[in-house]
Amino acid sequence: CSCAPTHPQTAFCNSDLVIRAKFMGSPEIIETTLYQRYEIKMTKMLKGFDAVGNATGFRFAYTPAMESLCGYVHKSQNRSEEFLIAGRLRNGNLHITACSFLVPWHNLSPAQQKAFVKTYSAGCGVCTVFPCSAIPCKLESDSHCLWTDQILMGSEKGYQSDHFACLPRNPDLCTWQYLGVSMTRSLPLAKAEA
Amino acid sequence: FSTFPGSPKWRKNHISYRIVNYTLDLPRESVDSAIERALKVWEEVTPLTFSRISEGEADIMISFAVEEHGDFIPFDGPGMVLAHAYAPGPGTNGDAHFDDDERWTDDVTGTNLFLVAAHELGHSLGLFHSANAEALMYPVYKSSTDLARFHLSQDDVDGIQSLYGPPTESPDVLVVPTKSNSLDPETLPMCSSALSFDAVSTLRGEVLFFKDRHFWRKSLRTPEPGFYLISSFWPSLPSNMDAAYEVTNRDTVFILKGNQIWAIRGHEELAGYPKSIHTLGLPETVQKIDAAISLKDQKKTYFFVEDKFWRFDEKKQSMDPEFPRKIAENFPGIGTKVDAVFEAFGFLYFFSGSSQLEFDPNAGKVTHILKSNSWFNC
Repeated sequence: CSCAPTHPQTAFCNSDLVIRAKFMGSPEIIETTLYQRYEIKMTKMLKGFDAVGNATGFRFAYTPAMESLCGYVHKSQNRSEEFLIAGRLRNGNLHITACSFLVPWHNLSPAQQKAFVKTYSAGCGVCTVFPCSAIPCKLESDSHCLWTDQILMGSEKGYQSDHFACLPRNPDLCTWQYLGVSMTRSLPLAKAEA
Repeated sequence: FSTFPGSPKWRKNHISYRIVNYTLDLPRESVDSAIERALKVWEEVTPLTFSRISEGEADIMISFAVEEHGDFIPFDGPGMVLAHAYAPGPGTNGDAHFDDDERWTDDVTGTNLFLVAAHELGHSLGLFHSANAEALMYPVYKSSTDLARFHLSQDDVDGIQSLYGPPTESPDVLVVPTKSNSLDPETLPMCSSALSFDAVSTLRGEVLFFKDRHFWRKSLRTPEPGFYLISSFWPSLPSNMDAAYEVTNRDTVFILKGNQIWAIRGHEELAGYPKSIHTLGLPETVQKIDAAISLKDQKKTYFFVEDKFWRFDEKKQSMDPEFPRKIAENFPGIGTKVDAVFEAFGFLYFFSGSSQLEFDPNAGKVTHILKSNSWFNC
């Protein structure tokens, strides 16, 4: 299994379902298939209301049984720990993989938590986080933001992943926006008092 | 490293493989070559040998597919899951599938087939994922890998040898992991892709790139930069400077190192310097500037220190109130480690190590990532 490095905003936008949930124990292998499922307790839904309709929540998260087939392996034993799960909806079930964005909710900064609840969705379908995988890397569209964590920080868990969302600044232009503080303090460089 | 539950492995040293179909992203020869090189990575550190067959059932069947592809484990469109593979064994076991919704490339501009194949074939031979981020068997694809210097980590070698042992050939043919180039920075040639700068400033329409005791001097119209000792032009200037910036309407270049500032005009070193940077209004807690730039339209000078910056008003000769601010707020896309910055053609060029970011101040975004030495026409 190989996973593409994914910015949390991309993970949010590309997922059918984004929920907060607790894992209730060890996975059970589903006989006759290559899957296993984890019992979960959903505490909140952040994305996917339309897809799910009036279903009340998900009791299971399905994943391939084998790690080399991108099966997700849950390592925490703590049943009260809440996780953010960005997954796919298949046949009415929540599916996750080793490549899914899946982290303890409390490991996210308050700014990132807010982004998952609110901010990231403003960029979906409008703005694209464009991963730079090699130098030179050129902006190809005004709706792109160049994601440089991998080439500059050597890891997908970098500065832009933790602190930025790629959002529309006006109808034709997307830019990185800092999640930490209010945007009203930004001073437009070009229009600074001369 | 880790192996599959029960440590399945091939009970023979000669393993067959077959490339069942091809991606349209690459010429067939490139796919053949990427797979061959990926197998060689493992062949070099084990007694295993591989041979390719073109029909029938091979131990390792390699294919490209999108979404549902007959094994009940569908792929997921572009991004996320790139490929998956099965542990050694008969039938589907040992096989490797590649998600053809990715853009496969033989360089690193897309998803590099060789790197992903080497990882997946590790699974086909019996390796599970490694928790070590340096290992090939770490599950997240790393685009930043230097292909020319690719090598297995010790963790990968230990893993595969725990299943198959070391190669049977004489140990001389063993490929020793190549050491990264540890060149003395003083001797780094101007065309080395690892080149970084201490400071960059314009000077009367030319650009000066400072590095240790030397600087390159480049007119934007001539292709080749000149290379000089700093002391041959300005004997009292320090080497290994922190920052440099030109205030054009005063025809002065300021040089910063530690908590001191020097001033030069052409060849002339201005009297009254060096003086303390705190005379500019920077707080005592600042003992070093990472980078600085003066924008002539605004008549403002920006001092970058870690993840913050201060702004100095050149007309009032005083620091603007409400600073420092976060670099992230006003220069989104620029990280926290700025080595140098200068302005050309209306863009700001921020240097960080061997990388350079072109920032468009009107759009407020990074428009281009380049190597730091991109101005040298290497």
